[in-house]
Amino acid sequence: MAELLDNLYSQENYLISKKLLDATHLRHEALSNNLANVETPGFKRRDLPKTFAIELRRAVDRKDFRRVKALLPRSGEDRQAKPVRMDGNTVQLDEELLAMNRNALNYEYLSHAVGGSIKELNLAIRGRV
Amino acid sequence: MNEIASLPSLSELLSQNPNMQPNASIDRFMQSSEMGSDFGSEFVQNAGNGAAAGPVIDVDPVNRVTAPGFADMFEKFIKGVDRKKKIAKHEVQDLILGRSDNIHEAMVKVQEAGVAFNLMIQVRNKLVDSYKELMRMRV
Amino acid sequence: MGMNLIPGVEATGSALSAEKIRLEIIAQNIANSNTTQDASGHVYRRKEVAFEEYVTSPERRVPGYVDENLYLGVKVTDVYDDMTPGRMIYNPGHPHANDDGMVQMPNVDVSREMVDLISASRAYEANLTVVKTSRRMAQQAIAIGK
Repeated sequence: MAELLDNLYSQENYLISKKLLDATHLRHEALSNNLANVETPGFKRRDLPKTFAIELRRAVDRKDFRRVKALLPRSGEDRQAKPVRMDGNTVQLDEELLAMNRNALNYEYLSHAVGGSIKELNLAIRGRV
Repeated sequence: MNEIASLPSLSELLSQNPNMQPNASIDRFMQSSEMGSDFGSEFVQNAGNGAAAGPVIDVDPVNRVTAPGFADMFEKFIKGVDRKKKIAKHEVQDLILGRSDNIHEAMVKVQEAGVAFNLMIQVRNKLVDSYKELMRMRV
Repeated sequence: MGMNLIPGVEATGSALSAEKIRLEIIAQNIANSNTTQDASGHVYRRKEVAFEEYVTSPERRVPGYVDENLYLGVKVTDVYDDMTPGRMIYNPGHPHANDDGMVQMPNVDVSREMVDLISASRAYEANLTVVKTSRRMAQQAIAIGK
């Protein structure tokens, strides 16, 4: 039982998974909105900036978990997206769908990761889940 | 929470017997877990040495010996659990009222409060068991 | 605004409604591609839908990582007539022919309508799969720790 409790890895991953769960949820909302506007003239797609993942990774490498907790994901206009139609719409249906599905799978994994840490703790405390 | 309401009387009970040691592995849980760190460092520091939690003020065998340190610490622990329950309650309320759409946040907070509560119950059980054990000893 | 357990569902729902309206309009255009006189007495005019992004300010609690705006998908702001004139065909026997024997045809190009139909269908189907995925995500979140 003590070995489970002392497992620092599960504590780190718990924090990281929680933060990524937030980010994945937010990204799903942005991608859903993009797909909703696939036929809207002039619409520019929005997404989570790639800097979020980079910053998160940096903070983890530095073992700066206060920073990990404080990081806030925000969605913004994807300035690198090119218009795919005459009307300036930047959403590519197939790519957007693929991104949305991958993101949803991440969400699935992360909820299991977070839930797993909790089950582990319950097991350690009670001797059963 | 009825369990929390009944616990202060338990800590009174405990304060009469400062020689009880809380379970060491639970202590390590508190130190290593992120959830544990929310409960306040005093519990963590003092949990391993219940006997040294407070000086024995009165050695008079007739009067009760008190160990205010341990009782206070346990009180703080209970408050921490209660706080976690309140946070979970607010998160769920926001979700139900449509003020938030963060299901995972609500679920995580509810589960964390549940873990904290389980921990508290286990600590309580162990303390009660230890107390009973102590009482069975013929002095 | 009630409970919103499925992430992004307002946006997806708005798209399903909007594309459905668009499909109906396209179907109407195709059905009337040869209507030389409609209920109002003149030739049928092609209808079009105007889509706009639906952005609003949040009344919901903003947990610090949401934008200043709430992005709720798309809305149909207008259904309007396409005023481009259609073709004139020489058909003197036609009941609606003018003095020169010319008949004003609707400005509906069926092949163009078919292209629009395909786009609208694809968008509709895509948003349907999004709803399924979103719902699955919500169910997984509910199962955290269980």
